[in-house]
Amino acid sequence: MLKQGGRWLDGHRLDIVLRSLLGIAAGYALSALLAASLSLALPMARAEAVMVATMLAFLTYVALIIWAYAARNVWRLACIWAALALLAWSTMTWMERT
Amino acid sequence: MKESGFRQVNSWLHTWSGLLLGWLLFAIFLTGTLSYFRQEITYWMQPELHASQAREQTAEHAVQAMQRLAPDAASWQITLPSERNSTVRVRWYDQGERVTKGGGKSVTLDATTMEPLSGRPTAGGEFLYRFHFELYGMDRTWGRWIVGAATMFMLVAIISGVIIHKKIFIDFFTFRRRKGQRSWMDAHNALAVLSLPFHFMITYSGLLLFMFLLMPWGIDAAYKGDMRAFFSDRGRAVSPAPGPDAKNQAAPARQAMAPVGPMLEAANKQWPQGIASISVSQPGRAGSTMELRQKGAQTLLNHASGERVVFDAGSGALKETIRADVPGAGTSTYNVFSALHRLRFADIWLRWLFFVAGAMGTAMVGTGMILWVVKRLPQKRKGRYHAGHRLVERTNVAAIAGLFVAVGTYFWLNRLLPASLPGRAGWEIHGFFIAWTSALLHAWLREHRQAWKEQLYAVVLLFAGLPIANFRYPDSHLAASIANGRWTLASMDLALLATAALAAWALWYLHAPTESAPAAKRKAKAVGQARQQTVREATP
Repeated sequence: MLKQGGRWLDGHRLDIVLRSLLGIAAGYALSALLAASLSLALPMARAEAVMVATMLAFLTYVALIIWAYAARNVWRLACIWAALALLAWSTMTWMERT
Repeated sequence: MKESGFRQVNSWLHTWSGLLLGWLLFAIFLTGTLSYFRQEITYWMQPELHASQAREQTAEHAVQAMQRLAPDAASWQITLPSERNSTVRVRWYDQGERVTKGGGKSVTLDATTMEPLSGRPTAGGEFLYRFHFELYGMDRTWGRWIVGAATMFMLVAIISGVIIHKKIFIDFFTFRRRKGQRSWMDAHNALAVLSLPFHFMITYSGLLLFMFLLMPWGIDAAYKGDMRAFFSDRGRAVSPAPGPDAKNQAAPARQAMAPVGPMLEAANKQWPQGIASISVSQPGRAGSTMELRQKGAQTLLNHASGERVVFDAGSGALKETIRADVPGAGTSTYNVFSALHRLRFADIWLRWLFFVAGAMGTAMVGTGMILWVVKRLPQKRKGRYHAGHRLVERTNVAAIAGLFVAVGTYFWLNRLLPASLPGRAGWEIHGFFIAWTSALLHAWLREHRQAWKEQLYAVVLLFAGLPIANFRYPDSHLAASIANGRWTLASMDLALLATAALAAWALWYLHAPTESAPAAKRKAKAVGQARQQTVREATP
C-alpha cells in the first residue's frame, strides 16, 4: 500500500493528506457540532445532556477519523459529512429557537 | 484506501498514528503509571519524615497538638497517617482568612511525638504527575492540548489496533519466542489485549478529564459558554470544607471542646477502613463542629468521595451524616471514568493492580515503537534504509532507556542536592531534563546497539544504587523499613531494584551470543529478545 512514489506529492500522498485533513479537522468540527446539537436536543436535564453529548462526541471523533481513512471515495465521504453537519446545525438552530 | 481493505487501512493508520506520537505516549504512560504512587514517591523523597509511625491514639493526639499549635484558628484540617504517608499533615486558617486550596498555614507532624518535621524541599511525585498531563516548561494550556491530542491518537491507535485483529483471541495466546519481528509482534499483541479494557478506560477517561478544554462546545451551546452555571447545575459532589465564609465575622465566644476520643470511636465503628481526615471549624468556640471523613469510597458514581460525619464539637453529639448524592446517569458515568483514572479512592492492592496495568501499557507502547524499527530491518539490509528509520531507531533508545535514565537521575538529585540549596525542587526537575537530553545526544553519537547497552548500564547503576544510598538515612533503608513494617518505603526500594534487574536482564540478552545468521539480523534479534524479555518480566 505504501509504494514509494517518484514525486513527493504524488496521488497516493495527496490522498493521505486529504484524508488526514478531513479526519482530523472536519472530524473534529463534526464532533463539536454533534456535542453542541445533542446538548440542546437530548431529552434530559441540561447539564446531563451536556455530559452525555460531550462523552459521545469523543467516541464519534474516533469513528470519524477511522472512517476518513477507510472510505473508498473521499468526495462521497465529504458529501455525507456535509449532510450530517447540516443536519446537526439545523437541529441546533431549531432547538435554540424553541 | 481506494485499493485496500478496511483492515489494511486500519493497519496503516495504527502504524503511523502510533509512531507519530509513540515517544510522547511512552513518556505519558510511564510518568502516568508512576503517578499512581505520587504520594508514596513524594514521601520516599523526604527521608526526614520516615521516623514517623502511626499509633492508635494518633488522631486524638493530633487534635491535642492543634490546640497547642493554633488555638485561635478559625478552622483546622488534619490529614491522618495512611499507608501512603505515615505523617500527620495539618493546616489551619486564621479568623477571617479566606479558605483556599493550599492556603492558610501548614505543618507536617510526627505521628507519634507530634513534633513538627521539616522534609527537604522536593518536586516529588508531583512533578511526574503533572508532567503526564501538561508536560513541563510551557504554557499549561498548550501542554494539555498536546497531551490531549496524543491521547486522541492513542484512542485511534487502540480502536484501529483492535480492528486489525480479527483473530484477537488466538493472537493473544500466540507467542513465538526468539523469532525476531514475530516475537515483537506477539509481545505487542499480548500486552495490548491482556489489558485492553484498562487501555481503553485510561485513554478515554484521560480525554474526558480534559473534556471542557478539548470539547467545550456542548457547554457553549447549552449554557452560552457560562461554565459556572454549568457546574452549579451539574452539582459538585463535594461540598466546600467547613470554615467561615464571611470574611469579617467576629470569632464566636470561647467554649471548651468535648473529648474527641468518643467521636473518633463512633466514626471508626462505622467505617472499617478508618478515618482519612478531620476538619474542625471554630475550634474551642461556641458552635464549633468537627467533621470526619471516611477513608476510601463507597461508590464511584459520586467522584468516589467518602462518607462524612459531623459532630457538635462542644457536646460531642452526632449532628449529621453526609453522603454525596448520586448524580444523573451522564454525570455518574463521567464520575466513574474520572475516579478510575485518578484512583484517589483505591487501597494499596487496587493501586498495584493499576500500576501493573499501566506498566503493561508502557511496555505495549515501547514494543510497538521497537516493532516499527525491527519490521523495517529487511529494507535496511537491502540498502533502502531511509533517514527516517535512523531517526526513529535512535530516538527510540532515548525515549525508552533514556527516560529511565532521567527518572533515575531525578531520584539521585533528590538524595544528593543540599537541603538548603535555593530552588532545590527546580534543580531536581532540571536534572531530569538534562539527563534525558544527554541520553538523546548519546543515542545519536553512539552506534545503535552500543547506545542501548550503555543506557541500560546506566539504568542498572542508577536504580540499583538508590536503595544502597538509602542506608545513609537511619529510618529509610530496606533493613529498617522491612523490620518496622513500613511497606510504602520498602516497596519503593524493591521496585527500584526490580527496575534495575529488568534492565540487567535486557543487557544480558544483548550480550548473549545468538545462532549464526547475517550480522544485521543477529543484531535485531538480540535487541528484540532483550526488550522482549524485559516486557515479559514486567508482566506477571
